[in-house]
Amino acid sequence: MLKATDLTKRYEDGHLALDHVSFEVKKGEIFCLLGANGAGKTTTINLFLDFIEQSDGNAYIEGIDVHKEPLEAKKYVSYVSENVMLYGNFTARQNLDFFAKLGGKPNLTKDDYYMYMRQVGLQEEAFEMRLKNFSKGMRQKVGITIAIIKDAPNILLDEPTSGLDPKAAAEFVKILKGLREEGKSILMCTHDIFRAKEIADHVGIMKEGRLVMLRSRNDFLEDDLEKIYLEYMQEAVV
Amino acid sequence: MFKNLFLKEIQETIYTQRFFIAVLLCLLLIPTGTYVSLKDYGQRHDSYNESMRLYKERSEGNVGINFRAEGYRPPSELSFLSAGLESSIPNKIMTSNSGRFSIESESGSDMSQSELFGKIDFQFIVSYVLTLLAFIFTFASITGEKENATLRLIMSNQVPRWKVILAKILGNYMVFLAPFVIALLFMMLIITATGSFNIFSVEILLKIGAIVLISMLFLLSMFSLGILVSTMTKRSMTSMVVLLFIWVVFALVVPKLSPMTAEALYAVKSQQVLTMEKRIAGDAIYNDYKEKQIDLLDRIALDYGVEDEGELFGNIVPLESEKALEQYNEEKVPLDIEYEKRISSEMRKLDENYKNNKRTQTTWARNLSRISPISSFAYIVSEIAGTGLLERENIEQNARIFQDEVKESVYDKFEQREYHTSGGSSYFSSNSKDGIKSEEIPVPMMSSYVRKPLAEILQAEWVDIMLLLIFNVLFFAGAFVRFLRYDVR
Repeated sequence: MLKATDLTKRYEDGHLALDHVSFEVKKGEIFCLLGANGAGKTTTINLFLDFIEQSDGNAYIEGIDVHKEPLEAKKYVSYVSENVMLYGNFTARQNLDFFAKLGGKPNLTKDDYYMYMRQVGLQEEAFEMRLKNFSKGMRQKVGITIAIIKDAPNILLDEPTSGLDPKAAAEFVKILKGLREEGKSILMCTHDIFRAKEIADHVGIMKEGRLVMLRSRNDFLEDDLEKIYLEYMQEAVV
Repeated sequence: MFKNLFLKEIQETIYTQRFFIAVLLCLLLIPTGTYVSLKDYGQRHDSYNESMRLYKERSEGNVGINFRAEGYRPPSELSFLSAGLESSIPNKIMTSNSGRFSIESESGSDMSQSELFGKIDFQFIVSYVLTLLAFIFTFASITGEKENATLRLIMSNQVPRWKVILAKILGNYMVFLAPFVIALLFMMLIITATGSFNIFSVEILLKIGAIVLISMLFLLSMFSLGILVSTMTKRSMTSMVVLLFIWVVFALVVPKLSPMTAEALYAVKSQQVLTMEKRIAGDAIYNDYKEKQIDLLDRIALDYGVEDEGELFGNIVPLESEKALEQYNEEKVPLDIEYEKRISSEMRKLDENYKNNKRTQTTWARNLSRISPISSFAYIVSEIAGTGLLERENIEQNARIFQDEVKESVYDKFEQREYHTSGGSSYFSSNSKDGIKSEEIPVPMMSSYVRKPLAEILQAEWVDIMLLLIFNVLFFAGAFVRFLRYDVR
């Protein structure tokens, strides 16, 4: 479970990046944070990973205050970044091996890694290929495999579908659905309103550091999510 | 977890082009530099042997009270590691019966191309090439991971930051050391194969070991510095530019600027001025001596009733003339001794004064240059290799020993007296004490040239060794602390 209560971040230059944001991502839920660039989506993820210190409020992972016990909290979270680069000179399996050990899975075999890579739909010939030869979609799949291997109950995704072609994005969504079925709490920051509409259980729209709208799946399916989003963005422009 | 991070650093670095470049440079430069330097050492050693042979040949049968024995400083075996000041350190010792030895350069500069560009010895390779390589290894160690977002991914796990930075420094350093150590093994093989000198002497092995350890310590400080800069910047390109700037300052600016600054801050008169001063002082003392000599003659002339001292030996009866000469020769001895003493003391005073001033200037230059770890490293290595400033003192010690040896084996076997003739001129007469003929005395050869032992060198170089340790601690701790607060976003 992921929880933000009055999460606020004001930078040293006075810029208010996050303004009292509160939400909760329950077990087996996908929560999509939508918003324009600079709305505060990535700042929210950075606070959940203790990469920056909050000015006010708290972020909790499985009830653990991230800022107070960052290392303990990180045990229960996986993270997939926007642009998964990983180690270009390592093969996909070597990358998985390194991050699996970091994530507390030291005893996996080559076959285990192959099994995980098959699970996310990576082609067999790519398993022992160096990552520098991978397309963005393939790298993204390795990134999500790292998250799957860690098997943490919570997953943070920062723009995971940006730059992916429609087929790769659809495959990615399929993987996320599978993870939700396993009971993972997934927080996904995205611009991709169509993917959000497809998989989100809850959607939050962020604008200038504030969570200006929070709707459950039933609510946003009744109304047109795209229309709601554009209305909020329009207000932002005005 | 640390092991995982450490092995990742090793594996990741091995796959990079920079590792390939490190292997290439180490395996190419160190053995090649060693081979060329050893050849050069061999030539200088041959030239040393030839000088000794020629000296012996031309001195056979000429040994006497006025003989000036020659001793030669052999080239340092370890000069292949650091050419240092080898070409400018005097290499010839000349004794004299007055007890004053002189030290000079026999051949001087050979005006070779290498003097213009410097020699590619071990010290050069480590100071310049490997330092630059250490920076190339580390400039992107943190910023690169940040740019690839792998740092975010690592830090999203239950990993303490100190383990990440420690693994980075040690992992990269170990990979860097691998080609360096292999190149050192090649270096040892080349020394053994060429048989330039006996590498299996304990003192030589200890000295080589000390230089290798000091090099590793120095390179670790450069690694830590590279990683420190990487933790202080947000982009790899910025980190590279900053490190290049540091390299230029440490390797080129500080070592070259510090002697110039010292000369400006603490000016010392030139050698030519010193020579002039010595000549003037010598002339003044000689004139005084001459005056006293004339006074003595006047007094003796008065004693013998002659008005003009010029008539003393010619215009009185032969018997009186002989007595006057005897009295003059006797009373002149203390004058001569006093003159010798004054000249010697004045020259020594001027020399000492000049040397002290020069020493102070050098100390200033040394201290200023110690801002750069490269300077400290160069000082330690050149001193251990026997091509540093300490060698200048060492040759004096050896000269003193040789002077004593020659005094005992040659000069003490003769007696010398100065006589004045009735014509006013003087002459020296020397006789061997035991009736040995000059040609029977063997040509005195310098039995052995003693190098400073390692312990004494390390003791003398403690400041630079401490500085290298301090640089290590500062850069290492700096990188550590900076990374604990590093913005991984």
